[in-house]
Amino acid sequence: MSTETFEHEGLLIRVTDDAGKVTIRCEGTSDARDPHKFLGITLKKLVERTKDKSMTVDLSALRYMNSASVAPLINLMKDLHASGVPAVFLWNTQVSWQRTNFMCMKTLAKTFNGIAVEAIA
Amino acid sequence: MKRVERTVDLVWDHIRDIRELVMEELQSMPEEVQTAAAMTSSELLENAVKYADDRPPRHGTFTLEHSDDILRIEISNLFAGKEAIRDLSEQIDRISAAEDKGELYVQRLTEIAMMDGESIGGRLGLYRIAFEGNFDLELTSSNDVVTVIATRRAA
Repeated sequence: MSTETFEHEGLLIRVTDDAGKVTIRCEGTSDARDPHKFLGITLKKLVERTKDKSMTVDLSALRYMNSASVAPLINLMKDLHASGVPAVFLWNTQVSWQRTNFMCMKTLAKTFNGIAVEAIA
Repeated sequence: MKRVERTVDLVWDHIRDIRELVMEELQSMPEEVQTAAAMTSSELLENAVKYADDRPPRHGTFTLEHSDDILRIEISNLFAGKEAIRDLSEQIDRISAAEDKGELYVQRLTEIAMMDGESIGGRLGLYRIAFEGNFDLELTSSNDVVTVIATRRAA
């Protein structure tokens, strides 16, 4: 198993690769003015090297995320779908703001084959 | 009604301070109300920073008023011209007119998903305030000074 971490302005991205199962866990706060510069680019690079694997994107430990951070997550869904990487996005439905994001992303994910959105209660 | 007012420098790094101030001020309220108010304050301030006029003074006024029944958040600052004001005003009108804020939010996410390019921002903040935050939005302007008011029931 390999582990990597990326950190920028209070947002921590932990990446583990365990026998072809990649887990991206986001922690802390994502409130950059342009989240593409760190979050978007980091996620894109991770997708590029995740061919022939599966991915879990665990967002349940995020304390806060601004609305600008939603676009990089949608782009991640699109990139995973285009690359044929099966993926599951996890939200913590015990937290109110995460619950609404879970519901909306679950609806959106229906348009991307192979992408699932699930709740951690 | 309890009132907290701050003059805030329209600098991105200060937005986090206001979020923390709101969480602390509303700590006796349910988690859902605290986080909704902090998110709404943050998204409104982000808009204020993005749309602010470059001329000094680059600051705005943030006001939080709350009682057992009502929560009111107000951001007031000088905008960079009529076009930015009209743009924001039209967004607020569209959101206010929507019967189902959740459907509108998902529709906006779908639009973002259909866009090309990597640096798309989405301009999702006001939609989020209405749906996730459950706030009503109102905008007034005078001499390019824009005041955006978000109101909801506290309970």
